[in-house]
Amino acid sequence: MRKLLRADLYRMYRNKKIWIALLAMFSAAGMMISMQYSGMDYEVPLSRVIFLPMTFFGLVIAAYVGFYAGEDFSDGTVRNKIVTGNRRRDIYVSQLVGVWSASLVLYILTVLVAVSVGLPLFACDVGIKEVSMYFILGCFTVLAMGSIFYLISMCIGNRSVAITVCMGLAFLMLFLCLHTNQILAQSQYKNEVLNPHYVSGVKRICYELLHDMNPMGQIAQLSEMKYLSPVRWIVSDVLWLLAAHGIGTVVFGKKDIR
Amino acid sequence: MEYVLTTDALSKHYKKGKALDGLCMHVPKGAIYGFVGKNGAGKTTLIRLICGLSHPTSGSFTLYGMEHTDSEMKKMRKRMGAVVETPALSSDMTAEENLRQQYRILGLSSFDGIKDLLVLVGLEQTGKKKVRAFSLGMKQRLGIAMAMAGEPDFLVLDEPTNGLDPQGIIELRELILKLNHEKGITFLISSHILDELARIATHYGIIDQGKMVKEFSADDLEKECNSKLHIEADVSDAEEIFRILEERGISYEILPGKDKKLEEYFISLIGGDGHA
Repeated sequence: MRKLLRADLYRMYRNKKIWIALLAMFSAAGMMISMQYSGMDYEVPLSRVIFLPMTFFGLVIAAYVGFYAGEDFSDGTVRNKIVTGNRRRDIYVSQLVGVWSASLVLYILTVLVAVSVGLPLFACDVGIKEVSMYFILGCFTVLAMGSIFYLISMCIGNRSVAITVCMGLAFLMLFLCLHTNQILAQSQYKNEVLNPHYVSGVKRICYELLHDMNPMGQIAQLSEMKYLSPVRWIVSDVLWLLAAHGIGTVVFGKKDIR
Repeated sequence: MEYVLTTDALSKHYKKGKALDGLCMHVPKGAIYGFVGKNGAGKTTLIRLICGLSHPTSGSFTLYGMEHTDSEMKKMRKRMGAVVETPALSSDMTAEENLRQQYRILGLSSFDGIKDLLVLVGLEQTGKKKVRAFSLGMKQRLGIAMAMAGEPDFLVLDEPTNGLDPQGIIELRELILKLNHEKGITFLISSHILDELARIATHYGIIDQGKMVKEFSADDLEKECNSKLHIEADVSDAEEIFRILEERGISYEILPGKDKKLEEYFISLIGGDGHA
């Protein structure tokens, strides 16, 4: 599988699309940091800025993975890998590792840019330990997100359809996140009166679960550097990774390649 | 006879129907096997199956004597190269970069043979030109070079002359003959252009509705076509010849030029209007 990984990584970093995706994330970081810097009439804490550009990550990685994985089908180069006797499981996994590497590169560089630009401009209210913890949680999220979009792209096997479906799913996850976030953000009391929109009990647990299982929900928590449950966060992502690997290898293994 | 590829009752069914229906075929080692059939007869389906791009519904095939279900089949696949329908190339890479990528996929430790491959297919002058700017013929030749990486001894070409201009067809024919004669590479070529196939093929297989109608060698074809007397005559004398033959009750048939014999034989086996 090492030879396939070498070929996939070469194709990935030789291709302009990864640099376009990176540029998109940097632009998002620049835009959001300048909005925070100039738009607020109070001193904005650094914790609000470090992971804020990641709100765009879902859309960018959806487009990128749809393009990257779909291109292997549209160019037909996936056929070269099969015809030369490589196992389909190896082909799937090596590209998945490539997608993980791209996801992590986009994430790490975006956060680095946000920290380097943010440090001199905003009030430093967080320590390295806290940032590192959220950074690690973010790593799980970006890996899960890349895996989900990769699974979809490999099952579809057509570049334009894959990009459309991945982008559609990214928006769906975003809207779901906005919905669950809005409900969970309600305070129990408003002006010392019980808030009728506040949900509690089993319903609240379900909403929290939905918010934690949704990678966009995790990004929302990451951007605010707050979490509902770090364990649930990590477990959800590990389940996404296992599902993407398991379902993907089975579906791709049986797929008729055109 | 030693066979590179054999299929036994190989079938592939889709929801729409049977693409292959119990196909049996035998590709001898060292042959240029012309695989002939109408559109939708099942030629590309068979090629996809032997390349591992899709899975048979039933039946089996062997590559170099190894069953397709054998766990070691991937070793046999390394001995073959294929261009299925369109050449599989990264359009944003040069010819050399595409070949380097193929070498990586094959796990070859050195890129040494790339220059020779480019010379072999006549693409050594393409330099930094991206594949997206290549003509169809150049892409086809690069596809063959890609399939040649790793020095396979069995090449599968699906409609290789599709979209090629006459010059491109001649160049491709010469390349196939050169590889077959000099390197002993066995070819399985599906083609619509029967005249073209007749110039190079040593063996033929005619497929119709997913079934093998007949397999025969170029020698068999020659014998079959020579079982009748071939008379060449000026058109001006034709009337007199017809009159004599008819007087003696001898049946006759007016045939076009001799390059048409594979086409006629194909039509006699398949029937219909002969759109291979």
